Amino acid sequence: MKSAGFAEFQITWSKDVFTGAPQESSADAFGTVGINFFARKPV
Amino acid sequence: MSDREVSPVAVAPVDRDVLREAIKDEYREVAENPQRGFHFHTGRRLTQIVGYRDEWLEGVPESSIESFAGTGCPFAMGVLKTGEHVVDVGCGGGIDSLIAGKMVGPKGRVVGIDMTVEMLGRARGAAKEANATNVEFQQAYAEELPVADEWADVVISNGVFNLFPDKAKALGEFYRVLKPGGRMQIGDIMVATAVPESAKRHIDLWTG
Repeated sequence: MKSAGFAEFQITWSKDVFTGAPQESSADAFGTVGINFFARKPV
Repeated sequence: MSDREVSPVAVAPVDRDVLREAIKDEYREVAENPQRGFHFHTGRRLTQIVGYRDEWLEGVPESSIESFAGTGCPFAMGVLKTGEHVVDVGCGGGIDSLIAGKMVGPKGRVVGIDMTVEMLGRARGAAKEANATNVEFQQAYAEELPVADEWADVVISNGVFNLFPDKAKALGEFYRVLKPGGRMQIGDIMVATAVPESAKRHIDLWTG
């Protein structure tokens, strides 16, 4: 993010969003979680 | 940044076009058969899992909601303001574009972008049903956004950043289209375990 020029990068939320899905996923093997992230283009 | 180990892939170590076609195949199926059952949750149940408020979904056609396949909630980081310009990268069936359209109101504008024709068809149908005249949809790749420099106040995206073949180029495009002071509000995924190089070359793992 920083190398792309963005500032204020932050991950604001994370949660397991894959468990219980109808089909088996590779997500669990890699500890995959859903996240929200924020960043700003500097003024 | 959390203490989780992130394993970014700036440029996918797979054939870009083959990867894109595999992803289109997957999301064409979501667009055409959203009830089929996938390796990820979909639809209204998923909106509840990732934290969408009921009032945000009011007026959004079910045809858009049922094809939702995001991994987070861009609006959880702050609602959008009246009159803002928004780019929704990887808009899918249009749920986030339509929510954004309601938030920014008639003086705002939303451009939803996706590479999958069938998803765009669903999004355009939903926008027409919702009479969302401030929302338009275009077919394009994240690495080549059809948006003018410094047009957007906000770039949103949900569950697709991890699928971009060239993430550095896509980020460059996000930066280009944002106004100074503009923001990204993105839902995506993160892995806790480093992904081996061999796995990164396995296209089935990108889509499933």
